[in-house]
Amino acid sequence: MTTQDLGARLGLVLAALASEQQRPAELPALREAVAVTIAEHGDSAVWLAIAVLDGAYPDPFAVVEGRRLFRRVPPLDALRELEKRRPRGWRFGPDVEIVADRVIVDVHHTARTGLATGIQRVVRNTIRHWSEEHEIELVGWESRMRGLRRLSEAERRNALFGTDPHAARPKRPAIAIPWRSRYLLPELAIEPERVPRIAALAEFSGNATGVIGYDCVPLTTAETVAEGMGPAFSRNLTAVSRVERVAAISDAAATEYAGWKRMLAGAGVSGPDVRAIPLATEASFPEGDDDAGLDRLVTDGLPLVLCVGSHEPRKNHLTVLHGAERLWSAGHRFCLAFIGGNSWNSREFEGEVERLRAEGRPVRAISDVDDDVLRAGYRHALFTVFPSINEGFGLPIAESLALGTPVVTSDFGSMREIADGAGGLLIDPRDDDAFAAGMERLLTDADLLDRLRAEAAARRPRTWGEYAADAWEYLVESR
Amino acid sequence: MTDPAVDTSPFAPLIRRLTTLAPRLGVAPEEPAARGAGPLLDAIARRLRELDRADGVWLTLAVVAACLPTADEVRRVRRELRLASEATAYRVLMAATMRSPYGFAAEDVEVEIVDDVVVDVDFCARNRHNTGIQRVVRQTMARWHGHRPMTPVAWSDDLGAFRRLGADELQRVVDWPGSRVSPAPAETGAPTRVVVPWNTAVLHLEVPARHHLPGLAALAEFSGNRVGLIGYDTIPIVSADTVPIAETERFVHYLTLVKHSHRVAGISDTATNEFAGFASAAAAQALPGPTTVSVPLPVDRPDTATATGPVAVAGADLPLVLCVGSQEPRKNQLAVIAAAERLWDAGHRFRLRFIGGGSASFIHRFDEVVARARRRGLSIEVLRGAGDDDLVAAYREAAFTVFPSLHEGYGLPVAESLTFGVPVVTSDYGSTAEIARDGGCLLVDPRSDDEIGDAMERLLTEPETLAALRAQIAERPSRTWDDYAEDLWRELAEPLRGGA
Repeated sequence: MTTQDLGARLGLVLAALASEQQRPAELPALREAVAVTIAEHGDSAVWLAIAVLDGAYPDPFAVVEGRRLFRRVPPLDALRELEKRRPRGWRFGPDVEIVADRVIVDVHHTARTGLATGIQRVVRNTIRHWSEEHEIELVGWESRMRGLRRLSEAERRNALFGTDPHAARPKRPAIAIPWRSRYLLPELAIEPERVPRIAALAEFSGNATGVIGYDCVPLTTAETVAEGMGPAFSRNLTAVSRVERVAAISDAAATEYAGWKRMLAGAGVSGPDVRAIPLATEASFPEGDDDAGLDRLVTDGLPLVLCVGSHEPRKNHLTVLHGAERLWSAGHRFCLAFIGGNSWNSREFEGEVERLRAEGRPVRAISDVDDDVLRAGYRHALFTVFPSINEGFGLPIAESLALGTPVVTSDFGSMREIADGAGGLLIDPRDDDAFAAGMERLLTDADLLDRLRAEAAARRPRTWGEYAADAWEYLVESR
Repeated sequence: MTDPAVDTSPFAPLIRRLTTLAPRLGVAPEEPAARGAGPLLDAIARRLRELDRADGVWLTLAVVAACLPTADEVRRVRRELRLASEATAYRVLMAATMRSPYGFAAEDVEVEIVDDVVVDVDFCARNRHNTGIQRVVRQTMARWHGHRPMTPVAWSDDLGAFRRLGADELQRVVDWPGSRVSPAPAETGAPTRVVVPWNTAVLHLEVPARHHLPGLAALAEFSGNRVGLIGYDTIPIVSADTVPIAETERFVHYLTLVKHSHRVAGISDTATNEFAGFASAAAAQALPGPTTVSVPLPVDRPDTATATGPVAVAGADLPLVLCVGSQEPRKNQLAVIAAAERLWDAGHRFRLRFIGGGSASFIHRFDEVVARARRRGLSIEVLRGAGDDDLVAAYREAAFTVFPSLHEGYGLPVAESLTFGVPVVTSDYGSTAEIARDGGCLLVDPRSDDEIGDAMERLLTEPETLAALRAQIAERPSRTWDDYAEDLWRELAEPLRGGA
């Protein structure tokens, strides 16, 4: 049920574009005033008028068509044509509200998921700080992804704390239309209905825009991601190319975005400003039972080597298994535990774990653990291993070090940024010998292990408060 | 030199493959070969285990199974060899071979190890399509063939490996005009001759098909061969919103090949810069990425442009404005129509002709806009499926052409127009701006209908401007396919050839 008639919508457009102007009482005069004002204002007004009249954000194609319409025919005729167009299947657009001069934060996915993997952790930690210290409006997308709307209170709680993943959507929410506002996207958007609308908002609406950039793995390490992710992510990037600022989560992520940005010149697009705003390196675990679930991780009381992360090829877990097998064969005594879910193309990993277990090797792979078990595992482990091929950040490294446990990890990219001199033993993850040698050193060289433990203990972790403040400063306040 | 008894054994093809392989790994083949395939495979496996090298594993898998291994397979076999004993190493190779499409059973297959430059021209060998990329490949190969030490190859879909071309395929690649007139007979029933490059350069002049890419990327990463590519553009990434999803899917996997390759020759400075940008992103994973070098395409007219002299067109009282290119959003034809409508309203009179096929999803919208403009009185022709003759005739008739594309690796219609002496209105950035540097073009922001219209208006109303641009075209330096083929060999093949 929509309540806003044409007059109400035209009134909103006029108020946004020319707040000082008196709203004419009669529809013909109102129409005339709105039409002339749109023609004067150009692209941003065309974007606004379509969004308000349709109750749905336009994609870039629709804005360019609207612009051409106002060039081709007199403003009043152009406006009448805009009034006639409707998104497919919608007889009347939903109600709209203009959200002027605000910072709106698009947490559509985070508001509706119980997942707490990398991106959700970053989003939740960030918006918790932002919402404490600044005026922000948390928003998600209407059910058909045609425009943003305010979150319900329950969705808002889930966005912030992840405690209510089944929060009901608001019934028939008004579409929130940002105007002279700032739109921030701290999560990854790849939905086909959502992405072109973000692109048009960024390119045409006149609102300021910024995103958090996690990595460009689907382009730069396509051999390790599932079918469909490359195209979806590439389309995400076409929207990001119109955004003003990308806060990359590490120098490595900034390197990837900067390389991609250089590719844009051929399309005549200058691309966003890219800056590395490194994530927090503090562990966000609540205090808990130090022995929780250790029986699921440790075999026969052996020293524990822990590997955290999903078993996707990029995480290089086959190298971990191979290194461990060589060391077991050479007589070293330790047990190996993986915490993380199976994923795309993890079959070979699963088969290898099965084979090694059948041969009596002390290896376990578990998933679906809560934070208590994860924390206990990090605390109890002799050291952790994380020889990934490419990471925007490498959260398990930060978590391991924050809990005082050394890590064998890759000697480049974000992994080096986090671990170098802070409790990490750096190796080339593509060199099986180097990885096995790194593990062997930490199994046999107690002095080295102690030194790395001391490094980890001495590091001053970067807090989520510091991260959120730096990200805010860059995305909202800097010029 | 082979024993007749060996030749009649059911394992003869395998023994020949192993005999070819053995000396490359430093295994003397004579004695074990005489005892059969098993002892030879055993000797090779022991040697591989001792070497513990990725390139040796790659070569062995490629030759024994006649199939280019994937990166996962190379890593796996290397690990299994390390964990095996001397006596059990051969089992690793047997199991790996059994995992390949044909196992040990590739009977009608001869494998040769080649140290010429290997040039992958699969699509051109097997297809009769001849636009953009295929023209570059065929013009280049026509000039390299017989003059440069190289082996052109196609892809065996059965095996998943490079193979030599048949006579008809070779003709299609190196003598395109001849293949149209009197095609060579197709070779049927001939054994597949698999080509495994070793210690040489492998050049990809095309963007390989999706299912070739895992094997080709592993070749680039592990084989020790140096891999070079022609870099056409990165449109499927940068302008992903304008191409089909499958095209981007193929391209991201192509980028894995690019990432592990050694050298990319871009067809323009713009295309080169796109690949250099991607290569610089690989630093985040500690990969050097390919060296990039610009080898610009020549400004060249269509192959079949033989007619001479201007074409007299009856009743052609209005100047013709020509717009060549497939009808798709990226080519920006709707901006041209919008600009033309404004000029028409201002009283300018001209004909507008579009030549080019269309993507199904876009034609509907395009035709609507054309119909609307025609109702307004504009004279617009749309030629789809036009042949080269129509194209040549149109260039000869045109007052000027308009090509305000949003993204091009090269911008062939700009170059073509210039070869016919016809001035061009084109985009003020990227590869089109590069071509325009040598004169004959008016540059516009393609995202501004007004700028496109203003430039068209100038060429419709200022004969002196049109004449000045024509004079510039006459003065442009010439660059031919001979130049391109020579430059490409020098810049792409030579640096990768190694000791040759």
